[in-house]
Amino acid sequence: MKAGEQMTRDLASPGFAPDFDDITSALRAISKQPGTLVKEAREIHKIARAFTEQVVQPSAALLDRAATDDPSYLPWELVEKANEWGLFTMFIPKIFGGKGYNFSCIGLFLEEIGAACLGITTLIGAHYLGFGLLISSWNLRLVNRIAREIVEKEKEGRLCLMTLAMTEPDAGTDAQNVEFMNEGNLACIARRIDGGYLLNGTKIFISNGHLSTWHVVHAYTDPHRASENTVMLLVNSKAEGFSLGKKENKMGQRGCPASELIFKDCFVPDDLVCIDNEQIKTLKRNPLKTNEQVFAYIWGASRTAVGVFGVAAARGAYEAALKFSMDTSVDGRRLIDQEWCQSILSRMYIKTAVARTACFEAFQANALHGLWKLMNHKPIYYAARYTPSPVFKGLYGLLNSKYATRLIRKINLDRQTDAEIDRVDGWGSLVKAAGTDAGLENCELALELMGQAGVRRDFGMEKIVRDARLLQIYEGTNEINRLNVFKRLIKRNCPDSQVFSRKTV
Amino acid sequence: MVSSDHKELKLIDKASVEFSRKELHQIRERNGTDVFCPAYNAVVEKAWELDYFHVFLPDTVGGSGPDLTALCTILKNLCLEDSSLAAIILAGLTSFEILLASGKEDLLKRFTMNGNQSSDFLIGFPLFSQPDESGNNDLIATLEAGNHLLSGSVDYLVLGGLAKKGLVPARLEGEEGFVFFLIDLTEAGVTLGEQVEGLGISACPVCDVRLNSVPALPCCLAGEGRAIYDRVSAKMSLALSAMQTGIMKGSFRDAMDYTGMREQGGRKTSNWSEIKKILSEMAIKVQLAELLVSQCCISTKKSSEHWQASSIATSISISEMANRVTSDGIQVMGGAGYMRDFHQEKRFRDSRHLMSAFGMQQWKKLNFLEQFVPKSVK
Ligand SMILES: Cc1cc2nc3c(=O)[nH]c(=O)nc-3n(C[C@H](O)[C@H](O)[C@H](O)COP(=O)(O)OP(=O)(O)OC[C@H]3O[C@@H](n4cnc5c(N)ncnc54)[C@H](O)[C@@H]3O)c2cc1C
Repeated sequence: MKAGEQMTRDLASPGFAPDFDDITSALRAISKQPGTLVKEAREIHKIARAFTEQVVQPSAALLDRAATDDPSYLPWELVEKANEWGLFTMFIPKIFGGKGYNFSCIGLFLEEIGAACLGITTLIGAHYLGFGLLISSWNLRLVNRIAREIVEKEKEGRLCLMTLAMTEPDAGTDAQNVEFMNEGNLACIARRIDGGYLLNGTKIFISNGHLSTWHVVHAYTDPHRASENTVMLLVNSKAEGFSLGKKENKMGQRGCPASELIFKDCFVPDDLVCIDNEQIKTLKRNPLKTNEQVFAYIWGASRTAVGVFGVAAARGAYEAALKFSMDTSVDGRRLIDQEWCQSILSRMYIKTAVARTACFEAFQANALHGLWKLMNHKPIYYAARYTPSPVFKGLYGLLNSKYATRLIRKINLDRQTDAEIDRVDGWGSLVKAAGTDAGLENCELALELMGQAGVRRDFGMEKIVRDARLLQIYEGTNEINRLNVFKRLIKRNCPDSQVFSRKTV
Repeated sequence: MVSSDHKELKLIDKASVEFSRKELHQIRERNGTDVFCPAYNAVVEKAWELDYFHVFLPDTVGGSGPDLTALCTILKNLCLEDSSLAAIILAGLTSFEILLASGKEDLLKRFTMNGNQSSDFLIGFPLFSQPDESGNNDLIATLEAGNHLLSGSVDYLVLGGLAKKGLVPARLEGEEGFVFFLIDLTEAGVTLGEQVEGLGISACPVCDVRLNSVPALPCCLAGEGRAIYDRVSAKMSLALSAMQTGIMKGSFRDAMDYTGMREQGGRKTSNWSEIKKILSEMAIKVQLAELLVSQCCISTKKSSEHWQASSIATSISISEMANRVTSDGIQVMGGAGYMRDFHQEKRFRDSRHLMSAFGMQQWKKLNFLEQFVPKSVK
């Protein structure tokens, strides 16, 4: 055999073809989709657009300005407006008292707001991030309790926001990947004592920290073996031993605070423990694998949402460039009438559309196998949509029983297959990296096109650039997300390879 | 950029690194959010005393040059810490160069040989647009009783609000092309807008200006403006490239320091090969930028046949490299890179802001073929 022939045969290795299910979530979701979802999506889109026009657009630059002049500024007014609009309960299922809009449509909502202000979309998104992490624990009693508190407070015109608190001063990447946890410097320690845990440590960069009532905190009973000794705790901002530290002075997204949370002998009673090793004893996976699975649930959803933030950035930059091209003449002709400029605008449009489509695929992966699988299951969807709210009240007792949590964990944790975990988590990382890269690429193109108009604060484009740069960092850096794509979607083609390992250094 | 056999240049190099570290490092944090402030004014005046504005000027106008390599060395080193001072120097020198290229040495001397207050020696210039690029600069000059009067607007006049004088391109009524006019920004018909804030170089003052029948001194003949601008902007683009190189070097240096200390996954982040790869790519771009600038300095000094093309091509490419490097500089530091306390984010903003000096990047690219290729492809 000649060398060339050998090469051809090797390159055509059929083993590398992607799995059918891995590339067809949107297709496979068609028949499983409730029919009224489109109608619901339109409603969500309409609400988001109205909120954007009436609240976000008039306040985005002012928020940025206020937080620049006074780094300790907190956007209470904006948050209260969003609360009045009911945005913090929109995606809380009706069974828990919320408005029950379907999570798989949250992308439309976040994009609409994010294209006008990424800081505000992060602020709203971070609340659902905290709520999403709580759901990922599948602790129905706590989900029910916190969701109802948010709803009740909203009705009374009071705020009740949530955070997700994982990152620590010496552990960012390490806090998000089970492979690194044991090697890292995780220092948020939960010590088991009578009736609960005693929590000590510090979390940093926590979005909405200064605005929130509830913090969903990851802590470790044994930091040297943190990957299998993680506990998820709910801490109230009024809890003894809890305090707020520094508010970060960020380049952009200045309307959304990133906070330091400090825990000093903070007692967390058993009834605020979302999940720990005791609670998962009866599950089929071991603590390490369950921990990893819980991460996959939240990352699959939240990284998809950050991918959408990237779409929003890409769209914001595109819209700014389009307006500039229509308003500006060079060489006596409007830019919009010049071929090279049309081509740049088209590239920006394409990047936005491709990223949006990819995010849609990831949302469907979540709908089929991820965080909102149950809510998208037709009988449950219709029951939730058309059952009058008071009827759900009768279910309180059921939701609060430990049997319900046990059952829901069996369904969501035990019945989720490894391939489904890979798909959901892999696609979350895929669109997080792709969407946010597209966002930044469009920002760069807009700056190249707009010249001095692009860098002037009063034209708005420079804020989009500052805001968008964050997207490649939070929810795991894009580097880590790309490696996670390797872990979840590529590695199976070369099972003997290592990822997130010292051996890959 | 510095040739080792050049003693004087070595001294300039060392002194400007020291100046940058001592003077700019301290105020850069404030400068990250503030517009031009008194502390910064003192730094500008110190730079003037140290002849940072003069190394590029011939001795006939009180300079100690013209030494393009020395200027590039200084600007690069200033930008290691903070780019606003270098941007102020760039705008000021661009005005000086235009006066020089227009044969207005006597006029120029009034600025370069007198005064030590920044407001007296600086001349504002609309650095971020080509004179006929965007249609923003719609200044018209009319002739009344032998005097020129300017009316219209100048958007984004760099050093506006600080300098007492400005150099602006305007069309002579009824004629093609543009002429550079010197105007007194304290005249009654001048309305200076608020300081315009921007993406980067926040301590470099900028404002929009409206003129209403303001007396103006023409500095060149009708029809000469374009040629003068092309020549000067090509030269000053090299200075811009040096600034971007300094920004890249600063970003790379801080990235190396941080990743050499920060541990994740039980090892220094610089030991993870993904981070190593990014750092390497940054280092390659820094090396390349230094090489390009130093080669261009040589060909510009020698007035080699293609010096203008080389200078513009270098500045277009280095700006793109700087954008990439400063973004990577943030990325390898994770969340810390995004925070103002670490100053990496400032470099990200500065490099993008400076990319638009002398006009839109895309327009510069588009024009390159027509402007230079017939001359340089032989
Ligand atoms: C504004 C903002 C808001 C945030 N909001 C939240 C929040 O609400 N809740 C929360 O918990 N966290 C939040 N974060 C934290 C965010 O998720 C982390 O910043 C991110 O995961 C990176 O961690 P780090 O900043 O510690 O960087 P590090 O982990 O120190 O990483 C630094 C660099 O090293 C690289 N690196 C690290 N380890 C490896 C490796 N093994 N292989 C290859 N490369 C590696 C990273 O990719 C990165 O480039 C927020 C961050 C910011 C900036």
